[in-house]
Amino acid sequence: MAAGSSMEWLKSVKGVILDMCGVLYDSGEGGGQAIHGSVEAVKRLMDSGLTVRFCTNETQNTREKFVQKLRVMGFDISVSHVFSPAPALIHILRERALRPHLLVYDDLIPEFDGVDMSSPNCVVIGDAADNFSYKNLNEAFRVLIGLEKPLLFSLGQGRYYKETDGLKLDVGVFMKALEYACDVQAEVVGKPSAKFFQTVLNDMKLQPHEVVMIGDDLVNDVGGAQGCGMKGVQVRTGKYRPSDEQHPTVRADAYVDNLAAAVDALLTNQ
Amino acid sequence: MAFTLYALIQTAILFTNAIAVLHEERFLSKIGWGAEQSIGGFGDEPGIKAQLLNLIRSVRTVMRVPLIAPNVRLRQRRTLVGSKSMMASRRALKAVLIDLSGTLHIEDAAVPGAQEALARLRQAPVAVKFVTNTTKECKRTLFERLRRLNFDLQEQEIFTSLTAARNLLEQRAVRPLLLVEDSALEDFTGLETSDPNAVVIGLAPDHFNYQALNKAFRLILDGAPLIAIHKARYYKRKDGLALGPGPFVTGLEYATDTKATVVGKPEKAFFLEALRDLNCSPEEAVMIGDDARDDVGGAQNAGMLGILVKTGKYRPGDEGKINPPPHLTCDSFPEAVNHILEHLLGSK
Repeated sequence: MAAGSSMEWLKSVKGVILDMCGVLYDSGEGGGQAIHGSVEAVKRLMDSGLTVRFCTNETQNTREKFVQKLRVMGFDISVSHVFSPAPALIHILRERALRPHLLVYDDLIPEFDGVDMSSPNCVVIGDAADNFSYKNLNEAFRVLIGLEKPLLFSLGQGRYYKETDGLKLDVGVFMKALEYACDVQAEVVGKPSAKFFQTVLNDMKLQPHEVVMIGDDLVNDVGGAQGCGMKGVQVRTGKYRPSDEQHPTVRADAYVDNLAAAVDALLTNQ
Repeated sequence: MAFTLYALIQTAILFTNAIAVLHEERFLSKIGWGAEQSIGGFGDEPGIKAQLLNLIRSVRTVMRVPLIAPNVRLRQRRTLVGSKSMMASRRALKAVLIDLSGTLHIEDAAVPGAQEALARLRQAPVAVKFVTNTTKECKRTLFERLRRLNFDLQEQEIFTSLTAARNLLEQRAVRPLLLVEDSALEDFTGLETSDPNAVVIGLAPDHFNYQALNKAFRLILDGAPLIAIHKARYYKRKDGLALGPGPFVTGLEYATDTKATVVGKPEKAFFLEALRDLNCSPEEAVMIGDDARDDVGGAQNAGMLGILVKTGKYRPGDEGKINPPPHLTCDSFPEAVNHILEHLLGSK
């Protein structure tokens, strides 16, 4: 743990929110692989008495399938502790009587079972990976520009994420592309939206200053959490790049090598 | 010059105007001729200076309203014709840049009278270049179309946004990853493309897939410059609207936290690059085009004069959408040439 600056706040931590991709595991071929030390770290946290929740902008799978994938890697996590954008979005769609045109990864579509998608009056984009073809983007663009009131929802706004074979473009890039094409501003559901974090805090029944977020995305995980009054810790795994430690606006409360190191520091200070 | 009564009246009006515009705070006070300064005590005989100041103020008060009329007329004349005194601050015209689609031709039909107008322009001591913002057609295709329409030109007189991109790549001595349409690749022959360290984005629907964009993304993250042919949001195809290169360039800028170098119109760089091998500064050049913002606005922003023609994509009122307004708005290319030949060549 980067010592020097006051780590007093560690003592008042009662809850931990963990980002998943890049902290617990790296995604890629065959579903991905666990990051060294993360499985044990999670177990230690669960046994410590701290309230633990998982936050992900992962939208290449339904939550159930996703958690199953993690169980196979050795993580002991229950679906009810995992928060992802898709359920939050579906709630919004129902509230506002919206019918979406989807540009998402195929495996996410089952999350939208029961949602009326005829005659769409909004566009939803998620981390669609190979589904981000010119043809699909053009279709989404045409729906959007054809609406009287163009409404674009983006499941997260990340710039890129790490897979086992390198960095890949995330949903935020295509959100910006459609925003520019139609001259609109997207509504972001998921990190770093304050509403999204608040949902998690409500479930934990804790105040922001009692919770620390551990993530690999400086702006969306750490910055987003700090924006809500939580502490934010940056891990040097996943999409982390050394330039993150010289970011002009976001300064993490601590920089650690990986989740195992973060949990060590946390539990020694409790 | 015949000393007509009209000239006499004009001179008198200009002289009176000159007196009336002497500004109290900005000028008179600064040279010690202000209202509060040196008038002398109450009851004293007014000196010469005081009498002069009184004259200035009287002229100003009395002639303020009547002088509005000639001043308005004077401004109109200047904007329309470009008076000799204004021309004196510009150097003689050396080059004329001409837009293609919408200015010289509309699809496969030439603008009436354009071929003869071009021939007349070539009689004048000016260099001519044809400029366009294509991303899909190479120079040869454009050249062949213009020849078919009987325009007198050489292929090397054509300068496109693709040419601009190529010149930039050569200047920076980089090896490009070319995300451009196959039909445009011809304009990049001769450039080394293996082990790329630069990214060029044009309009290339076939290349805008996830893998290609990821490849471009990783290169830029490693420091490769991102060069955009232009940043159009979308364009019209037979089957409806379609995304242009702009959205993809914007997306990559966001992903890498960098800014693209845009080489096409209306960027200043485009016009400067077009003039570079003509050995000509922007103040010595004029642009003729149908797109108020991209042709005229862009050219004037680079220091050139801009002539807007009312053909092609022109819509009534376009001339009011740019600031400053076009140096001239006229019906079509032949009228633009007339204006150049009559008013812009100046005395050598």
